[in-house]
Amino acid sequence: MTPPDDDVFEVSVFSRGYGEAIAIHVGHGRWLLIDSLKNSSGDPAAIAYLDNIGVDTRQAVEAVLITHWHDDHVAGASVVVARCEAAEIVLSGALQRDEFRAFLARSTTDNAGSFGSGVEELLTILRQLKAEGRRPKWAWADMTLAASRGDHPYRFEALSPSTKDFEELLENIHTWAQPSGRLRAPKRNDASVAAVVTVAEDLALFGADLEIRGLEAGWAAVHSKVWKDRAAASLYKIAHHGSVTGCYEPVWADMIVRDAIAVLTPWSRGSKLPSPADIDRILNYTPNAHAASKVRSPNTKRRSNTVERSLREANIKLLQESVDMGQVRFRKRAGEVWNVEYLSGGSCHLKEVLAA
Amino acid sequence: MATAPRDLAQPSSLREDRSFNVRDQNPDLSSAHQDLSVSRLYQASISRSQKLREDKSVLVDDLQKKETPSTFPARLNDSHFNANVIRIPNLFSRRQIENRSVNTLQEWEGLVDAVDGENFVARLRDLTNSKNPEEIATIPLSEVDPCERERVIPGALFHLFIGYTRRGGSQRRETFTYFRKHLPRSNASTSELADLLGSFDN
Repeated sequence: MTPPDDDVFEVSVFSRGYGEAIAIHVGHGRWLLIDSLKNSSGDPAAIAYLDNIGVDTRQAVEAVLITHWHDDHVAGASVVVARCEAAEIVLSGALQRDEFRAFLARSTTDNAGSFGSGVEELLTILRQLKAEGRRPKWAWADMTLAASRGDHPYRFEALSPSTKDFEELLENIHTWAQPSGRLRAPKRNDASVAAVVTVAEDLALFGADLEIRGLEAGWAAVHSKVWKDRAAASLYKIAHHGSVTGCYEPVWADMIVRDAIAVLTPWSRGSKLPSPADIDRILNYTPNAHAASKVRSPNTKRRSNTVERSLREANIKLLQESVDMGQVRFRKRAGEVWNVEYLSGGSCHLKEVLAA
Repeated sequence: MATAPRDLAQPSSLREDRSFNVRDQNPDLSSAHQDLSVSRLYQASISRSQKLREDKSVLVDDLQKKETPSTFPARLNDSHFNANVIRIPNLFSRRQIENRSVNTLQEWEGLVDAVDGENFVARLRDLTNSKNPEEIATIPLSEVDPCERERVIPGALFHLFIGYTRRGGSQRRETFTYFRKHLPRSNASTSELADLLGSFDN
C-alpha cells in the first residue's frame, strides 16, 4: 500500500465488529487519529496501517482525539499516544471538571483482568503524558483542536460536549455507580466528542458515540448551536454504530450533503448494532453507506471433540472474534468524488453488514 | 445429542457443597478481598458415591469438608492471582497428585459483556493457548447456579474450565465456571485517575 498523495484527503475507518479507530490524512503528510482499537496482533490498527504505508507517526500525526473512555474506543490508545510524539492529545473536557474528578475519587473500579479497561487505558495515557511533560487538550464544543498554519489549510474542530452535555452527565452519573460506589461501565455516552475536519472545501463529520439528548444537549445542540454556517459534510462517520439513539434527522437534513458517503463501525456484542431497522433508515438517507466490518464473524474455531461435546451439552456457543481487521478507505482530491476501497474482507457496503 | 438433565440429576446438597469461600479458608487471601465461588455447570460420567479422600497436599481441610472440587489447590498465594482473579491455568495444568491426575482440556478467562434475555454474552480468552484469538461466547443463564446469577453483570470476570479429573479408576469430565463473588473495593486506580486529571489544571 502507498500513502496518499499530498493533495488527497483520506479517511480510513477500522473495525473488528467491536471498537473503532479512524485515521485522517489532511494533506501533505499530516495525519489526525480518532480513537483506537487493536488488531489481531495486539497493535493499534491505525498505527499499524500508517507504519504499513510508510508514515512516520512520531512527526506526521498532529492530533489524537480520544472521544470517550468506553473500551471499544480506547483499546491500545496509550500506545498511540506513545508513538505519536508530536501529536496534541485531546480528551473530552468533561473528564477534567472538578465535579467529575470528585466523583471518580469516591468511586472504585473493577479490575478487568487481562482484558483491560477504559479506565486503565486512560490512566496509562495520563501517566505517560505526565512523565513526558506533555499536557492533554480538553475538548469542548466549538473548539479548534488542531489546524494548519501553512499554505494548505485544514481545521479539526470539536462539536461536543457542550456545557449542557456535561450537566446531563452529572445528572446521570449516579447510574454509573452501584450502591457500593463501584463504577460500572456507563451505558450512556454523555460528553462524547463529535468532531468535524475541514480540508479546503470538503468537510468530514465524525459522530463518535454522540446520541440524542433532548433539545439542549447531544446532537440537537450540535445542530442548533455549534454547526452554524458551516457547509454540509460530504462524509459522515455515523454516530454510535448506527443506532437510532445516535440518529438525529436534522443532522442528515442540514449538516450532510444529499447522498453523502457514510460509514459505521458495527457493535457485535449483546444487542447488535446496526439492527435491520437501523440499516433501512440509514440507506434511506444515503445509498452510499458502508461498514468497516461485518457484525458477525463466520469463523468458528475447531477444537477437540471432547471440548466441543462439553460445550454442546452445556449449550455454550462460541464464535471466534473476527480476525480480519476491517478497513474501509475513502480518498478524494478537491473537486472530485470520494473513492471507496474495501481493504479487507470484513468491510462492505452497509447492505451486506449483517451477512456472516 | 440429548442434554443431560443436570440440575434435576444433581442432589441439591451437592450444589451447596460445591460453593465455598476462598477467603474464609485461606487467610493469605483476605488482603486481596478475594471471594471465589464455584458453580458446577456440568458433570458427566461421575461416580458421586466416591467420597473424596483426605489429601492435605491438595485440599485445605475446610475445603475438603465441604467436598470442594478435587482440583482445587491447597496453597493459594499471590502468584495465583492476576490482579484480582485467580489464575487457574497454573492450578489445573496436568499433573499427578497421589492417586489422581488433573488434566485441563481447555480453559478461558471471561469478561461479561452483556446479559441478553436468557443468555449472557462474554469475551473469552483462551488460557490454554494464549495465541488463540479472543472468542465471543453465548452462555445460557440457566447454566449458572441461580444463587450466582446476580454476579452475571457486565464487567464481571469469570473462568470457564473444561477438563478431566481422574482418581483411581474413576474419571470425570467437568465444566465449571468461576465467578468472583465480591469485586475489589480498592479505589486506587480511580483516585489516581482523578489526581492525574486534576494535575493538568490550567
